[in-house]
Amino acid sequence: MADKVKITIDGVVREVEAGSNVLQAVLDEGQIIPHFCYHEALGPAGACRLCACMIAPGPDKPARLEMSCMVRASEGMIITVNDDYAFKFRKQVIEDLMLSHPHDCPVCDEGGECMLQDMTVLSQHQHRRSRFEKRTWVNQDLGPFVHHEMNRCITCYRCVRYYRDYALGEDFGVYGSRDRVYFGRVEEGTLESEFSGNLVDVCPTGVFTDKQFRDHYTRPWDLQTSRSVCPNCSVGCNVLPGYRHNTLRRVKPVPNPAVNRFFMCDRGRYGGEFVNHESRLTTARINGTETDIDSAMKSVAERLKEIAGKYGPGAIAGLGSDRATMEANAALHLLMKGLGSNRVAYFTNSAERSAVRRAASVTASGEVTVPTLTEIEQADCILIFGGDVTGEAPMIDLAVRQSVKNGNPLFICSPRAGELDKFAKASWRCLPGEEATIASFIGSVPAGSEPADDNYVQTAGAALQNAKKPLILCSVLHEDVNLVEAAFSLAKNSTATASRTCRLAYFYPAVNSVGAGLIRTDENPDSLWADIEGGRIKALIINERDLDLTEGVDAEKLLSKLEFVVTIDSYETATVSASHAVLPCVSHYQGFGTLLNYEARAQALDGMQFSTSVNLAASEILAALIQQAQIEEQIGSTEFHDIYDVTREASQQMDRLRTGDAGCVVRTSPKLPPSAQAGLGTGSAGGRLKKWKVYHTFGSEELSSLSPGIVERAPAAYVEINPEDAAELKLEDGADFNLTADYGVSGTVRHNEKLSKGVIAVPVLVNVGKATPAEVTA
Amino acid sequence: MTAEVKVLTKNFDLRTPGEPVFLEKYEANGGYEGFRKALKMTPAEVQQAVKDSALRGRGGAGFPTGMKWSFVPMDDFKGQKYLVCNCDEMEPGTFKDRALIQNDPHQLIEGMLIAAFGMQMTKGFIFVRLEYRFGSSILDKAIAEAEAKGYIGKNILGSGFDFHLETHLSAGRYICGEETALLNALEGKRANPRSKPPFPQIRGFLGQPTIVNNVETFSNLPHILANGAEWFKSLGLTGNAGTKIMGASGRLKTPGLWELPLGTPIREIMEEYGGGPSRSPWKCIIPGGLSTPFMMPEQFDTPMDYDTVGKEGSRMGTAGIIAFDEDDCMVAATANIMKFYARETCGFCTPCREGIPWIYQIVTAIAEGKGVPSDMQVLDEMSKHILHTFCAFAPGAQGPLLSAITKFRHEFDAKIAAANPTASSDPVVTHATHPEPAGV
Repeated sequence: MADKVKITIDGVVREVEAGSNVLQAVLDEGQIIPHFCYHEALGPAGACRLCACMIAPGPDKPARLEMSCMVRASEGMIITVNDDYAFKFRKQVIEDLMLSHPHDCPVCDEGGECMLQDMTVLSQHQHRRSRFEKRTWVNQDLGPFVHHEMNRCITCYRCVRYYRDYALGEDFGVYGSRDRVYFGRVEEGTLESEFSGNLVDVCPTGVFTDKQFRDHYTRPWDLQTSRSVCPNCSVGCNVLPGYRHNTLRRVKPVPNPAVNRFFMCDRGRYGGEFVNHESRLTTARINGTETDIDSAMKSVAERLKEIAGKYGPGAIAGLGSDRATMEANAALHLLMKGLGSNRVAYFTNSAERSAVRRAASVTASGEVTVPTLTEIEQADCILIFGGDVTGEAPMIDLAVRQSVKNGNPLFICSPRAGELDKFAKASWRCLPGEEATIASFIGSVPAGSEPADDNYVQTAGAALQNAKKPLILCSVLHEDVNLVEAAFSLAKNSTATASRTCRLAYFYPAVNSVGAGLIRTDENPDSLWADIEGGRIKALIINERDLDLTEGVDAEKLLSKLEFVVTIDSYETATVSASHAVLPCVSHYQGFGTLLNYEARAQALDGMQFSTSVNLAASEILAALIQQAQIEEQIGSTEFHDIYDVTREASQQMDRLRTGDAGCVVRTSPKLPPSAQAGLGTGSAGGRLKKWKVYHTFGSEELSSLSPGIVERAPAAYVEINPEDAAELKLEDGADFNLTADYGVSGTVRHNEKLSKGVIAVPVLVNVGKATPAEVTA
Repeated sequence: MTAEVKVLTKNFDLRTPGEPVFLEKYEANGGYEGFRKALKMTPAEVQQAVKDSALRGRGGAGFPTGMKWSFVPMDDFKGQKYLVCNCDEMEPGTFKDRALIQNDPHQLIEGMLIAAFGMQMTKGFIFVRLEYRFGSSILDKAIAEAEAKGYIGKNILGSGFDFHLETHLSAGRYICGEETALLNALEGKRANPRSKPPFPQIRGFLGQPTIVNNVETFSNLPHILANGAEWFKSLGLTGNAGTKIMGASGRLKTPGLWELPLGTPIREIMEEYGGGPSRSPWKCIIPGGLSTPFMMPEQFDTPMDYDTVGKEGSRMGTAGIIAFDEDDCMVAATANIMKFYARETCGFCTPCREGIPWIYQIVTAIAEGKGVPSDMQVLDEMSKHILHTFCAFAPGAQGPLLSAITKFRHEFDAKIAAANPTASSDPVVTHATHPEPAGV
């Protein structure tokens, strides 16, 4: 811990960390010095000159007007904020800034949360003495997310420092000089960064505003907010959705020191429109007839008991979800238990199930140290295995960029180059399934090896050995349990041999994958599908899961084999449409419950209730079904611990969690069992191309794909192939490709040199081939 | 009358029309002797020689060169260090560096070699503003000559010392004369100044130790090494060491450049060398480039050196005098000066970016007969306000502004009074007296 020094702020002695910047120290003490260009994440710049104070190095030293953001606290320093000279100077700075600022506050989207307004009032500038013309600018169309209004710019440089220096984006910059400094793109066009929405938050005034919010704007002070957790990936960023008149108007990040401190990705920020989507379910349905939720639940409970009586309890099965809360998945488990069945699957693909369950167990075992986003930022060497972090866990990408920015090496082993590859010290293009082998090779690089330009394994191995805070990031979205195991061994062995911690983070397909992966006993989906096909299962209760999105499952055919399908969900999916009973639940942002993120950090959400016909969360519906079926006595104990592989202590901690807590990292109760499937990946053999799924930030995630802005940013369907393979197969760039029979893919052919040979890459696109809601409901 | 002392300009007489002094003539007149001498010394001895000479930076600020160098990490530092020559000569009224590079390019190269050896720097750049591209091409030719002759390259003259030198022709702006902005521009970044500390001696070009010196500063080094520190100190008349290329422009009969000992009285430069006033009697001068405060005729006997001009409330700067006469309107002149600063501000920090253009608008309005009584209060306030900026650019603009509104207050007041025949002379701004914008 850093040394403390005593400084005097306006006559009051405070103890702060030696060398901390004076502005932040004062802000931390709950006192305000007006400022613009300083931002905790971006650091000081000294550009706006608003944080000027009189600062003396000691009691008998002369005080000088200094920018508090640029001064480091030292013992005995005397800071006077409320000094006449400093006050007058700050007031003049505001007048300078307001010389060209338009007086469009009444119609400005930033109104009510404008830092410029606050600082102007705080500095008591009231009257613009200039009689000269204000400068004006031409604005740019920056795409579906960010609205540009340059006339309001006060040239604090926050935007460019965020976009270029922090997020390492390239298509936005600062142009011009003197009093004509322009912030934007070289040419009008959609901002390429996956983190562009943070411009809205870093801009202290209304230059960059939320375009999606503008589409259904309301004054910020009229918004009702309730802290929540973003559902759009396994990071679980903390967010503050804002509502008015029963609609969601916008999503903003809210700091949680243990997760996202300042920012969030565009998928999370702009992916909340599912709340307002026209496909949201508004009533319950039994055999296509709309009915009220209570009678629907009663009828479902009766029918389930009837089927259990007729065919035996084993004829009823449940299908849970990795986007459902811990509570909803637990309630489904209990409902099935009460009905006498133990057949509940929480995954729809057995490879995904084994990979997620193993990764979740490793994560919660405590046998490796799992980093927070901040710890990822501080890593001094990062090895990524598997997928493209940018599309699969965007905020982990942004954290990786912070490590890269500080000059730390990044190594990526993946079949296809993603956004981060341009920052990598070295990349290795492998076949899908080979990553585990590469990881084990890196683990066996002898100590003291030198990096070698032509040897990825040796270079990465040497960097890993020499690093003080190394980190391994491993994708679970590609369903490779061998890779999960290999990454675990690499982190564990590296920690043991180099006597310092090598951290490991897996990232997962969905917001509560870890929670679903920690269920003590679940059913392998393959056996479930087989028994449905074979007519041994007659009824299926599906909670918040669209089977239509599962590759290799013909949902329509499968569901048609069942006598009774009950689906609980918040919006109309193909699965909902094919169900006999539909029980509508509230959307993610109105629900409550607990989610486990990639760290196994339990976070609570407690959504904003709307006064609409649908007001039950999935967990409440399932609990009500238990009640209606009068099967409570068959259930008994209902602790998390009984259902999930977590300690009793973690179970109690989760019970006590409140929204806004930092959350708690849960642990599994017994020691981690050895892997049943340990072994190395073999890669592909033979001439057939191996398929590789590409997860994009926009368009690959289920719920966010209901947002128009996200849809606009999603790529068109494509099929990527290495130019050498393409030449062999005579597939020209831009040709139509339809090999549904062989690969189950179709689209326009793209040649990609940064794709491994022997691989055919296809994007995961939720909306492609999916019927529009209008068609579904018709 | 003080005579010209040709040290830096001694080779200027060897020129033939259209042909600078290249290597053959330069060597024939004692060129590279200073560098050869330096190579026989230790780097520490070279640094000590420069320190002993009391050479001060010739770019305008006058910081002691030896002291500036002393912050460069030496023996224990094994990484790359850089030497940069500042040839972004954009101070209005200043044109000495152009003369040096266009006439005697090897003198600069030799000076840089001495500095590079003294601080063990193996890479150098000459940062040249775009308008000096002709001078830059001369430097390129001279560098090629020096490389061919073994003065630049690997194992120079068998000493084991390596030095690589190249010119960098920049898009250039006034702010590039500020050394940290120059380094940003050299790195291909926006020419915004950097915060100090860390100083360039510790973290400069590409984050490595770097020294940035002016063309004229480097050009002095061969002579200091060849003739010794005592000789150099003896050149000055009033205690500041060496000669200085003095310039004069504006209301003079024969504007030009002359190499004179430091301490030559200003009046002598203007009358003996500048040929006296060209139109009406002088009203004032700017002594050393645009950013130095005005001096009045009663101050013209001041010796032109760092210390004495400083005591007179101005600065010697680059010793490029600009003369104004009785027929010049000082309000219009101030507007012209402010136009330069408003155009050249880099736009990084608020008081400079927004304040100086506003000052320019106000002064222009007054000059055009559109001033209002409250303008002077704003100018008074702003002239203090722009002192607290990120770099020294705005304080540079403040020098001429503050001295103009102080020394020529009556001219400003008269212009405003003529424009507002019925207005009260009370300059206090209130909502009631604030004039409505035209057309409202």
